[in-house]
Order: sequence, then C-alpha cells, then structure tokens
Amino acid sequence: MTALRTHTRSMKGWWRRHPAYRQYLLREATSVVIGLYALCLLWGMTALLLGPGAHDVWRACVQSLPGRAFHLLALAAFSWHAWTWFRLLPLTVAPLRLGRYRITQTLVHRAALGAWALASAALLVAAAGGLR
Amino acid sequence: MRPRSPEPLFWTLFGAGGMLAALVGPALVLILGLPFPPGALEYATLRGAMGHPLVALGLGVSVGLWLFHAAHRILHTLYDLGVPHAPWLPRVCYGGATAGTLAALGVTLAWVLQ
Amino acid sequence: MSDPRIIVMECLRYHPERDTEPYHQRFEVPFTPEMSVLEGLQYIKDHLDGSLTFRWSCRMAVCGNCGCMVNGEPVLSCQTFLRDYHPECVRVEPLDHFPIQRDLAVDPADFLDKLQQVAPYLIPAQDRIPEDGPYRQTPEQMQDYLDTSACINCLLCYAACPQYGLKADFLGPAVLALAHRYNADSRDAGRARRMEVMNGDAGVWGCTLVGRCSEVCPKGVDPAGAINRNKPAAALDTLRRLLQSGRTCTP
Repeated sequence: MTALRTHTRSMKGWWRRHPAYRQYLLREATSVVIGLYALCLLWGMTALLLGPGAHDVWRACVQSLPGRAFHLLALAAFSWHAWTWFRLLPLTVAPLRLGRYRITQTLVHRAALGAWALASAALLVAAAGGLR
Repeated sequence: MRPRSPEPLFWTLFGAGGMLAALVGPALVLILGLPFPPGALEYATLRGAMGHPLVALGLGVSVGLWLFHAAHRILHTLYDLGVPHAPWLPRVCYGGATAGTLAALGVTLAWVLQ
Repeated sequence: MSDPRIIVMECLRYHPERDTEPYHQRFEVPFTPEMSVLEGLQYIKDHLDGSLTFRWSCRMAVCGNCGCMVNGEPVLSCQTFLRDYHPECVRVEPLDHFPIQRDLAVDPADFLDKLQQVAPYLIPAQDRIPEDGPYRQTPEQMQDYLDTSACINCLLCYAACPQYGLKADFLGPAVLALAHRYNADSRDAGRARRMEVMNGDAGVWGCTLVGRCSEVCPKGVDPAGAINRNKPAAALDTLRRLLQSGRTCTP
C-alpha cells in the first residue's frame, strides 16, 4: 500500500484562532512584569543596604511618574496572576478524601482565595503597624 | 536511573514562585506603590523593617522565586510564540534567574548579618 | 410545517490526488430544526456532492468519530445543530493539529501510536485466573477514576491543545488523561511503568495548562486536571531518582 499524502496545516498565529488562547498568553505575560518587579525589589534591597544616598535614588525612581505607572501595571499583573493562579490551583491538587467526604475543586478554590485574602490582610496590617 | 528531564525541578521553582506571587504580590505592590502607610518608603522606616530577619529573608526568597517563575513562563511563552528551541535559550532564562537569585541571597545574607 | 430553511455550509475540501492546497466549498443545504451538522454533511453527500469525505458512525455522541471544527470550535458534529448557526453560515473543517487525509477526515495514527505508549489498560500487581474471582473495588475507589474513564477518543481535546500542534512529540490531553485513569484505579499497579513516559518533556511537562482541552470535552473528562495532578507526583519521582542515583541531571 502506498502511503497517503496528507496536508499539515501551519501553527502560525495560532493565538488568533480563539479568545481563550489570547487569555492564556495574557496570563503568561504577567510573568514578565513579575520578573521586572523582582528586579525592582532587588535594587531597592541593595540600595537600602548601601545607605541613604542610594536609597533616595531608588525612592525617587519608584515615586516618579514612570515608577508609579510601573507599580500600577505591577498591581494589575500580580492581581490577574493571583486570580488565574488560584482558579487553576485545584487542577494540580490530588483529589483528597476525608473518610467518605470528598474535598471538591470548588472547596480548594475557595480555600485558596481565603488564604489570599488572609495573607494580604496580614501584610497590610503588619505594614500599617510596623512601618509607621 | 537518570531523570529524563530537568523540567520538574524548574517547574517546582516556578510553582513556588507563582504561589508566593499570588499570595503576597498584590499586597506588597500596594504597600510600596501607594505607599501604604504614607511614610513607608522613608529610609529609617524601611531600614527598621528590614532589620527584622524574617522580612529580609521573605523578600530575598520572593525575589529569587519570582525570577524563576518569570524565567520558566517566559521561556515557554517564547516557544509558544514560535521561537525555535535552541540550547542557549533555557540557559539564558534559567541562568539569569540563578544569577539574580544568588544576588538576592547575598543581599539578604548581608541584611541578616547586620 | 413550514418549508425547510436554507443554510450555507462551507466545507474544507482536500483530495490529495487532485489538490495541492485545501480550499473551501460552499453548499446551500435545506434544514429542519432537528438537523445536526452531521446530517447537513450527509445531505451534501447524498444530494449535492458525493465526493465529500467525512467520518461518522453512531450519531449519538458515543463513538467519537464525527469530531470536526465548526466555526473554529472542536465539536462532535452529531450533537451540534444547524439551527444554532442560522442565518450565519457554518464553516466545517477537519480537526485542528492533525494531518488532513481527505476533506474532513484527519489521520489519527499519531494519537493511536501515543496511546499505546502509556499502557492504557489495567496492569495488576499479581496476575489472577478466573478461579481467583473478580477484582473488588469500593464505590469510593471507583469515583477516583470514573470521570476520566468516560473518554471516547474523539480527539476534540487534541484540536483544542496548541501545545499538541506546536510540539510533535507531546503525548497530548486524552493519552495523559487515560494514563491517569489507570494510575488512579485501585486495581492497577502500573504507575511506575507509566511514569517512564509521563515524567518527560513529551509527557506531563509538555502541558502548559492552556486548559481548553477540558472546556471542549463532550464527555466531561477534565484532561487538564488529570495531567496537572500528575505534575507534583512526577516532580517527586524525579527528586527520588536524584537522591537514589546521586547524579545530576543534564538539560
């Protein structure tokens, strides 16, 4: 039997085929901002260690217009990352069973959102108390 | 037997960074970006906060894990966008994250030892 | 009863002995409210163009043969209805990411080859003979794998997975979900053998959790969940190997 000739379609521009693909790429793109924010933090930690002069430069950059815009972008990126992360988290958790009671994906999702709220509140309270 | 791929190790770092970024990222950006409370970015205030070893350690670990999180996602997104697989690409991504993590750990160590 | 309405069906055509590139052909099909896209294709074949090629068998979403792209969505054409698209036209194409054999028929050989690699059957710890009696399992144990066992190999999840389209060696959603189905079965002891295939770049690590596979599954299987629940286990497996061998891994 001779092999059938088949036609293979190109994957070029595959994200144009469905909105879900573009949402996926947007979710992945948050990592670029998260990486840049990590570098910003590293710079801040180093500057603070070096002394008041270096810290003033960092602080001026953070509070400049581009610095504020970057923080707005970072807030959006971290929030979207957190929202999508917790939505997908139940998929990576092995199904748990407590006796006859099954821990559902919805429950894992809600628990994760609760942990997010708790951690955020704790951080803000600590900042309000400790940084004043 | 030899592991077939280093991917699980990078995925674990990616997952840890992603979890940490999701849990504390938005609040941390609010604190430093607003800033909250208003005097949070003062030199003395921040030095006082960083004097606590847990704060310094938490920030250092966050920086390192977020860099690995970013390196992993950026690498795979580049592949998704059609960038051909080349050996130097993961080396640049994960090498960069490793360098940044070492720097962060160094700075953290300096803070903790102070 | 009113006269049947007319809907335009635009089908991808490709006959390898005749065409160098696929093209689209428009057909005007009279339809009634209960007609599926599959019945529209059958009307074309019976009345308009007998050379239109497509696969189908059961007409009731059980056999998994009639999957195709309808207006860009991977669906079973037997449970997709023309009335939901009228008065717009319906564009019918073969499943994405598979080589086109002829018109709407794709070549599933790659999937079948990969399916065999994960040993999609029970591998008991000890062989039993009929005299030993049946394998016993509690309803709770059955719940652990029942969802994933509903897979009908229709390949819609492959057409929804860009990673399968981008990476030729990726095992893909259904194969990994079926591997998980047997791993999760209390009667099975083949986990270590399947781990060889699953814990690799072509296995669970080929998945970036786009998540569309679970959205398009007509049987409620959650391949994205099945794959990603295996990632922590696979990572632990790698760690265990590293500790045992004391060797570092090479990228």
